Amino acid sequence: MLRTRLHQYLFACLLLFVLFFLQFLRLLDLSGLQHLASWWKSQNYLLLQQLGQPLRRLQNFWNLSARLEDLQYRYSEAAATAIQVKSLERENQELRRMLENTDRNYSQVVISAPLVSFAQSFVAAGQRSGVQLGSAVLHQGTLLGLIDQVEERQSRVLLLSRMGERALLAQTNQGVLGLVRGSGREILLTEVPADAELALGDLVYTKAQEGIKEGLLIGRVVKVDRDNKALATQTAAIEQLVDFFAVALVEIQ
Amino acid sequence: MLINILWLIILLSFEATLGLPLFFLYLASQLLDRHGERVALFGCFALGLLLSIFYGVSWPLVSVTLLVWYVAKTFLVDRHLWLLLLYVAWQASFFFLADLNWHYFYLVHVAVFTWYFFRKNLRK
Repeated sequence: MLRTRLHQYLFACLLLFVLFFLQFLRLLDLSGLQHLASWWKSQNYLLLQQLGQPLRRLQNFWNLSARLEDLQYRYSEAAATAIQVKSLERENQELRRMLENTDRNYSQVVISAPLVSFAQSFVAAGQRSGVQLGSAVLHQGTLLGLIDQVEERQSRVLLLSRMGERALLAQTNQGVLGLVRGSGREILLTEVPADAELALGDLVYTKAQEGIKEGLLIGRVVKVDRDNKALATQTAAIEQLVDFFAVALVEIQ
Repeated sequence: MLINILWLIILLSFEATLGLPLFFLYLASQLLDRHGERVALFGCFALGLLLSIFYGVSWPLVSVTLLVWYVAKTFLVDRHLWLLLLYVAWQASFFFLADLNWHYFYLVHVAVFTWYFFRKNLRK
C-alpha cells in the first residue's frame, strides 16, 4: 500500500519535472487556450456588469447625494463671494463717481468706508489718514455727521440725528434760518421764527460756519410742528436723502 | 462527474473574472476526495491546467502548489481550522503567483466563502 503510494508520488514528481522541462523548452504553449479563456471571461464580465447595473445605479445615487452636498457647500461659498464682489462693485462705482468730480481737493478730503459696530458709526480712517476732529462726513454732497473721536486707524462719526449738544446753522432753500440738532432718533430744524414760511419738501442746507462749508445738503423738511401758537419759534423734522448705514463710501473734509 | 466538471469550469470562469478561485478549488478538491488517490494526484495536474489557462500562470508551478496542498491536506483530515488556514495560505500564494489586484468585491467573496465553509464543516 505504502509502496503504491510512494510510486504514485514519484510518478507525480516525474510528471512535474517533465512539465517544467517542457516549459523551459517553450513547448508548453497554452496561449491559444488562454485567449479562449480571456474571451470567455470578457463575456462573463459583460454579464456581471449587466447583473450589477442596479447596484451601480444605487452607488451612483449615493455619489450623487455626496456631490449634491458638495455643490451646496460650493454654492454657499460662491454666494458669499458674490456678496463681497457686489459690495466691492458698489464701492468701485462710488470711487469712480468721486474721482470724476473734479472740483474736489484730495489733499483735504479723505475717502473711507463706513464701519458699523453695535449700531455705532465709524469710518475706516483715523489719524494716519489725516482725519481731524470736527471734520464733516459727507456722501454725494449730503452732510451725514461730524467726526467726534479720532483714533489711529478709525474715527467715530457723530451722526446729525444724535447731535444733541451741538447745533449747526442751516438755511432752507426758501431762505429760512434755523439750527439743526438731533433728538436721538431724528434730525430737527429748531429755533425757526414762528412767522417764517416753512413748507414740506423744503431742502435744508448748511450755512458757512467753523469747520463746515456753506451749501452742504442736510435733508428735506418732512414735518413742521406749529401746534403751540404761544411759542415764538417752530420746529421741523428733516429727513436725510442718504443713510450712513447704507452707503459704501463717505468723504471726510 | 462530467456535469460536475462542467459546472466547475463555469464556476472557475466566473471566479477568474472577479478574483481568486475560492469556491472552485474547494469544490474541486471535494470532488477529487471522493475518488482514489491516483485520480486525486492527476486531478491536481488537471486543476493546475485549468487554473493556468484562466489565470495565465505557469502550469507546473500551480501544479506544485496544488500537490503540496493535497499532500498537506491528507495529514490534516478533520482538523478544520488548520485546513482553513492552509487553504488561506494556498489562496494567498496564488494571489501573488497570478499577480492579482485587490478589489473590494473580495470582501463579499471571502465572506460568502467563509460562511459556506463554516456551514459545511464546522456547524454541528
